[in-house]
Amino acid sequence: MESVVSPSSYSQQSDQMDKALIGIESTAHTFGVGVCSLDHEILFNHCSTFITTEGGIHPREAARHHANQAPRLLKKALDFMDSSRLQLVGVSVALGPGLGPCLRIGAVTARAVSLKFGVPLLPINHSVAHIEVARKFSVTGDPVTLFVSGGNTAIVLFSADKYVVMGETLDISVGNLLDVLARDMGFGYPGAPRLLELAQASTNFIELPYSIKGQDVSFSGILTHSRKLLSKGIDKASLAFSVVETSFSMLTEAVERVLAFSGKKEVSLTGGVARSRRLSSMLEEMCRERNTKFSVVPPDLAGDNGAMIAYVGSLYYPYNYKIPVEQSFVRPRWRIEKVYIPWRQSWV
Amino acid sequence: MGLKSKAVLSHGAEASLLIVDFYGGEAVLKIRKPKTYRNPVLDAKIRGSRTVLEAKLLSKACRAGVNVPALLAVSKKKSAILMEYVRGNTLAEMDDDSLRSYAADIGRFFGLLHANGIIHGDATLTNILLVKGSLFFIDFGLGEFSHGLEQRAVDLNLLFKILRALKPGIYDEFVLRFKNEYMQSIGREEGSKVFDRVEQIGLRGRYILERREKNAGTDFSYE
Repeated sequence: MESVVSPSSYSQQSDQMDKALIGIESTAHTFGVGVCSLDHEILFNHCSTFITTEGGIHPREAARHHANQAPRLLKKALDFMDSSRLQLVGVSVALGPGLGPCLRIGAVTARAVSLKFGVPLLPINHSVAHIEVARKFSVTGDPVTLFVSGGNTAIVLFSADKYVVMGETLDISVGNLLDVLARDMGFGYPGAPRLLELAQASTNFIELPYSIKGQDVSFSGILTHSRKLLSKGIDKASLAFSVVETSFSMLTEAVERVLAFSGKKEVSLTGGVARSRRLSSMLEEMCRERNTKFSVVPPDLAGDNGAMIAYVGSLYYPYNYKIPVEQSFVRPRWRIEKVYIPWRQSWV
Repeated sequence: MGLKSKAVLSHGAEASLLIVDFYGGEAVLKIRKPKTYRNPVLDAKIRGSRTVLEAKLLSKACRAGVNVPALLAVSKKKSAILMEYVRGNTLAEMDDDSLRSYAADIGRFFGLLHANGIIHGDATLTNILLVKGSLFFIDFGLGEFSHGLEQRAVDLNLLFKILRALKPGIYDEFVLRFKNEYMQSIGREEGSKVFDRVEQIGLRGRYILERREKNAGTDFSYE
């Protein structure tokens, strides 16, 4: 790290300079560095995603990718801050939930920045970052959030003083379903975007297991059944179409149920799968019928990125929330209910 | 169905409930409206099959000796069920002490449902009514027929999850009383298997530390 970060004015005190935080993301396939000002403006967002030609992501290989990319991306961010005359006041890092080997690369990078420039280290929960960066673009400020990505499928709302998962997948995430199926169809990783594209080429609906239990969903039945059909040589486009229609209908129905009993007036869509136009349009349609607002995270902030980590850092910053470097362990299984959310406390 | 609607009882996420005239009295018409966001083929299948299934569950539950609204008519084509109008307060409106006093009854009825292969599927406090001192179970819209351990446990898990969140003060005692009667109703051996599974399900969500600790015996001390 030492060799790529040239000494400069990054952390020098100056009243003329705007203050900003760096955010580092490395929970899964993406290593990202973002910059966000203390008045919550996202200024810089660069990332590199580990892509395979075949097969899924191996945590160790992804971590190697992150380690290779970290110095370059960090330097880019620091150079940007330098040329924009921004003063570094903190470094936030996604310590979890995620893949241990990947998380460690982000943590090491962030610790180095913290020690080198003498700025506080802010531990950020990756899921909270996805939810908050989407809430930045919400209408009511208090939505039911559908968080859908390669690793997560959760319906989350804010209750009293914390985020609470009201519905979630009982087995695999929706992104995982799409990715694994895409891989079986011969696409590499990430295959979900290609599967979503292929789905548009058909309107032939094949019945698949539709499994919703209360507000929870289960996707493993769809995957097993689809694999069986695939091995029998079913038309891939029809299968892709049916998988997308079935799984997204389940999600929309689960969100609708959470809306019904929570009384919230908005749905916010976030995470990598939020880029899907079909999912957006289904939720939007459901919301319109219920007289409920709908908002979706912008595409460049939908997938894993460093900007959202920096952004949540800027929310925490006024509350002096930080962690000593020697205690900054990664937290691969960090449940969202455990996260302190001072900026949404009514008594603050 | 040629029925005259008098009032709207509720607009749920799943269906609308209308109060209709029925031979001079009142009945409830439950209609599953099309979901426009859903693929029409899928939508018709889901609404039709859930309607028929719900009607079958209602009639089976009634015969099993569980208080449910009496089934009057069903239309698969219109995704509609006509049933008795049961007036009462939901358990959600009940104070902690009264709720605790009904724990045994609720347990007995769940035992009876499960012993007869009926899974309620949406065991929330708003789906159990108190009508003149007796409990009525409504809304089998997400139910299914099954003698499966998993289905039974998932059914109970939903009720317990809600109680834990909304009535933490009486949760332990409620479950204890519930469990006793449930066991009586379904048999001790079957009953303990179901409760073991309920415990397992609680550990199944994502990022649950206890599961890791239980399985791997490793110490995770970061929280």
